[in-house]
Amino acid sequence: MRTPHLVAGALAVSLLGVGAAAFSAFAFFFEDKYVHAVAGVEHTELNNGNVLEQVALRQEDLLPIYGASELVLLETEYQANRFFSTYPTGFMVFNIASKGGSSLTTAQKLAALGEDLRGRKVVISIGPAIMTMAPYGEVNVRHYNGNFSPLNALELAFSPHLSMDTKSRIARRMLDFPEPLEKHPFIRFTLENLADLSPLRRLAYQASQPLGWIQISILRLQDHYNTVNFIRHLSSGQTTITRKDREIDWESLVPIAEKEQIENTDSNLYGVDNSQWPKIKELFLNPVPPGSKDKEFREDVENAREWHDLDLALRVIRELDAEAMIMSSPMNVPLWETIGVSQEAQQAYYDKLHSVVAPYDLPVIDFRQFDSEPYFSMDLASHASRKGWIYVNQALDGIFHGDLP
Amino acid sequence: MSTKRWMEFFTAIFRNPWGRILLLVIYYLGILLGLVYRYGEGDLTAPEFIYQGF
Repeated sequence: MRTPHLVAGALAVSLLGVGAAAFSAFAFFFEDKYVHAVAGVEHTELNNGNVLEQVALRQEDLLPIYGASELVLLETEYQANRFFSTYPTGFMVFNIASKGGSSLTTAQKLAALGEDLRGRKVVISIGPAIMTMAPYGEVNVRHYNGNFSPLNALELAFSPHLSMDTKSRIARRMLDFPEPLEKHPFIRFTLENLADLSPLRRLAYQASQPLGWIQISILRLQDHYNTVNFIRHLSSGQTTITRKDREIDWESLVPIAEKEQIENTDSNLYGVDNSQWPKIKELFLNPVPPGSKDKEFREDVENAREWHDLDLALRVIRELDAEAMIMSSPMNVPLWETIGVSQEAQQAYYDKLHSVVAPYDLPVIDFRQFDSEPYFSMDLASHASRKGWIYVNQALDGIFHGDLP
Repeated sequence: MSTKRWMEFFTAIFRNPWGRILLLVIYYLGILLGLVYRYGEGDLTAPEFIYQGF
């Protein structure tokens, strides 16, 4: 044989490929077996991957919910992933939320799921915090960096299911956050090509596709490894799913949760949860008349960059044909009034939310009927309180069973 | 077996075309598995994250 090294090298690579494929098949089987167990435990360390989300999307009794701190900040038995852990009405949520999450992160996560998202029911949870409180209404750089996923970024960049226009728009936005790309020059190169889309850049993008797919394959394998490893370390108690059908009496739960919430707000007079009060108490040292800050509030809400990012996420949803529901936390009206923003001005948030979502014809649940309800939100950023979670859970139950919207 | 016997054993295999391929496959596979072991776990973890809240 004249080329033994070539033949041997090709055989070795092939054998490794077969091994990788076998591991992937095993991992999918393993993840499919334990995805319900993972749904019931805190699994934010898997958030930068996406293989388990793909598996969760295929389960008939799991409702994936994307979002940010509004879903994870308050650790309570009323949190959806604990409340529904025994599948009382036949389903459980699969929580894909992380502190500091934003619409730009969600856009990448959804884009990474590609075809798996088509026709699937998912809930996109958003809150008014970034639009109303963050400088320029923009996601905090540290929060974005902390939630950056190379796998999701590459899956988005090389997705065959998204239009070049959408990929280009998202790439331009991702380049506004250069820090996480420092460690990933290939991702930066790809995003720069996508962002420009001149003939030369487009050629470079097309030429780099094979390398992109190899990189994605390697990252997927690593994601499988991390996920399998995570599951292996769950205790037998955590992997045992107990299903108990029961009728939920939502109305009777509200006063119980409210009583617990009141007990957790005894550090202040404003109904703010004790865990959040130290972070915002300076704002309440000198209360101002409602309406005195309306102008700034309206301008902030109107010009918040997060709306642009939400629009990007909605584009992804439309192009991937997901059956998405937008669920927003309501404003905390009494608290904002205390710091100078009238109830009328606060409606600007809902108006803008609906105007951004309207072109995509997706249902919106904004809970505005609860924005003056005492103890629905636990802070200025509209994180749901224990009582608020009851209403949120009721809505999720309605969404899953098709009773909402 | 002594080192000399091992050398003779491998030399004999190496003289056979298919034996040579087999040894080379093992050699390259070893390199690839070494690379997987060294870099395979990857780094899907995010940079240090400090939630600053709102």
